[in-house]
Order: sequence, then C-alpha cells, then structure tokens
Amino acid sequence: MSEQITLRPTAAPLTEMLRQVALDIAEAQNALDAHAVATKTERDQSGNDLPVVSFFFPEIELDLSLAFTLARVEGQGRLDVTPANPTGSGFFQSSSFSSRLRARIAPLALVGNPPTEETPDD
Amino acid sequence: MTDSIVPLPGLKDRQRLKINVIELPPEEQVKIYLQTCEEGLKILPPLQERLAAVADKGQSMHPEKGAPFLRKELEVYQDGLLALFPRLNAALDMPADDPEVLRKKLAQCQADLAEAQQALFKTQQENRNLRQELDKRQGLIDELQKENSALKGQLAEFQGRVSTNPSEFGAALGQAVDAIQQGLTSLDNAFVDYGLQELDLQTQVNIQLDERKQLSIRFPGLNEQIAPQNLTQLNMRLRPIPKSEREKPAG
Repeated sequence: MSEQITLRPTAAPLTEMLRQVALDIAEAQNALDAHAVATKTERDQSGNDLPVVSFFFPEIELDLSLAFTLARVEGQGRLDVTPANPTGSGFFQSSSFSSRLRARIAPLALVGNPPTEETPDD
Repeated sequence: MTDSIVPLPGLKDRQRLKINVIELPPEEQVKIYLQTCEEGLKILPPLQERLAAVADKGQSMHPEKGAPFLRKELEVYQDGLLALFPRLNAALDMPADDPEVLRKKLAQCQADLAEAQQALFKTQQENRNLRQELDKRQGLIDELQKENSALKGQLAEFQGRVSTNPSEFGAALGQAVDAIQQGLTSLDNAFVDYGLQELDLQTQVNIQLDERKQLSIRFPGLNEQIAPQNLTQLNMRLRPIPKSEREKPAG
C-alpha cells in the first residue's frame, strides 16, 4: 500500500521571508569573501603581493510562485505568503497560488543601473 | 433444675439495650458462646446419666408401673432441657418463647428481600436508561464538536479573506521592501554591500467596491477556486531612486 503524503500550506509574513533571503545572500557573499581574504596573503615567486581578487554577484534574481494572504494584526494589514507546492494538489490548486514575486538584488554600486534584461510575464 | 442455671452476665443489660450478641465484637461473642457451652455441659451430662438409669429401670418394670414412671421421668428430662433453651436463645439472639415472632420475623425478612430485589431491579433499569441517555448525549456532543470543527475551518478560511484598502496594501508592501532593504544593508560582508534593485509583484486579486464607493482588495483564500477571468491582475514593479537623482532640482 502506497503511503499518501498530505502537504499543508504554511504561511509566513512576507517581511520575515525577505529578511531570510537577505541572510542567505550574506552567507553566499561570505563564501566569496573568504577567497579574497585568502589571496591577500599570497605572493608571487619574486615575493610581490598578488592583487586581491574579490567576487560579487552582479545580480541575484528571486522568482517565487506563491499565494498572498492578508492578515490583520493589531489593526494593521500584513502581507503573508505561502510558497506554492510543485504537486499543485489540494490547497495548492487554489487560485491564489498564481501569484509571483520577483526581486532583483545587486551590489549597491550597481543598484541605480537598469536591470540586465527584462523578463516580462507571459 | 432451672434454679441451678446461672444467668449470663450482662444479658439483662443487653436485652434492655436491645443489643444482639452478633452485633458485639467477636471476642465478646466467643466469650458468651463458650459460657453457653459450659452451661450446656453442666446441664446435659447429669440429665443423660439419669435418663440412662431411668431407661434401664423402665425396661425392667411392669408396663403398668413402668409407663407412668417413664412419663414422669421424661417430663423431668424435658424440664432440664427447657432450662437450657433460654441460654441458647439469648446467645443466638432468638426470641425466647414465641415461635410466632420468629415466623413473623422470617416473613418480614422475605418481604424485605423481595423489596430489595425490586429496588435493585429498578436501579438496574434506571442505570440502563441513564446509560442510553448518556450515549445519546455523547453522540450529540460528538456531532456538535464535528460542527464546531467545520465552523472553525470556515472561520479560518474567512479570516484568510481579509479585505483591505489599497493604501493599507501599499503600506504592507512597503514594510516588506523595507525589511529586505534593511536586511541587505545591515550585512557585515567585507567587500560588497547589496541592495534591492527591483521588486516585481504579480498577483490576482478580487477588487471590491463598497457602499461608500471605496475600493478594497481581497486575495483569494487558500482553499478557494475562482475562475481566473473573474479576478483582477495586479502587477506592481518597484525600483529604488538614487538619492542624488531625487535631490536634483526639477527641470
């Protein structure tokens, strides 16, 4: 007998989800920074310091399929989100899961520049 | 011969107080029963000895003389036995001299037993009725709990359908943008800081117009199926404006 798994939607405030995204980006950048720190101490055969090479993400795009719900907390409207489920069964067939949220994140120095390419929705 | 029997100590007091021997502590009951046995042992052996002698003599006598002799001796024997009965009756809590009282008491006991059996049957019947009523109420409780759960589900679904006005929705979105901006700018990375370049939101909402002709936005509930053509497509794209450009004078 096959075991049926029931997935239930879990909602969380949009602000919390985006804060978590920022923390994940920080961790990824930390991994890149570790390389730059390592090159600081390296020297060539003549004993000259090698130029420090650092990397960054010119653009990070986050594209989420999710459902928005409005909750009223202490009299204020709050946007909650529920990530869609790939199976699209049960609750996840609801009309609300047709929503998308895309966030483009770039180094501050490049933020004023236009995005590299447009990805209009079909 | 009855004069030779010593009355039991305290018997009168117990009779006066209407206390039965069987209601006394076992130690005291044993004392009374043993005393009754001693009384019997004092009375019976001389009587039996005399009876044996009387029987021998009666056998050897001429019937015309032997019959009145034996009858008289048997009366003496009966008196001796009767002298023991009050002691036995007192020890066994029996009425001393009225068998009718015993019969009445037995009849009363039988009547009491019948009444108790009837009361027991009635109690059992009531118990069965109460059990049925309890089962019925438990069924009602289960049904109400089921209904309550269904209503809670509906309430949760209804709460998921909170409507809001566009400005409140904008404020909620602004908070979200602010959260990611703050999160990105407060990172302690050594070489680069990140910022939000663009936020693009596409969603389908139900736009409602209330009695005051105010627009409100409602997202479909998580368990709600609505035909896409009945929903409004809402697209929002947010981009930051660099401070230096914003502060430039117009024109």
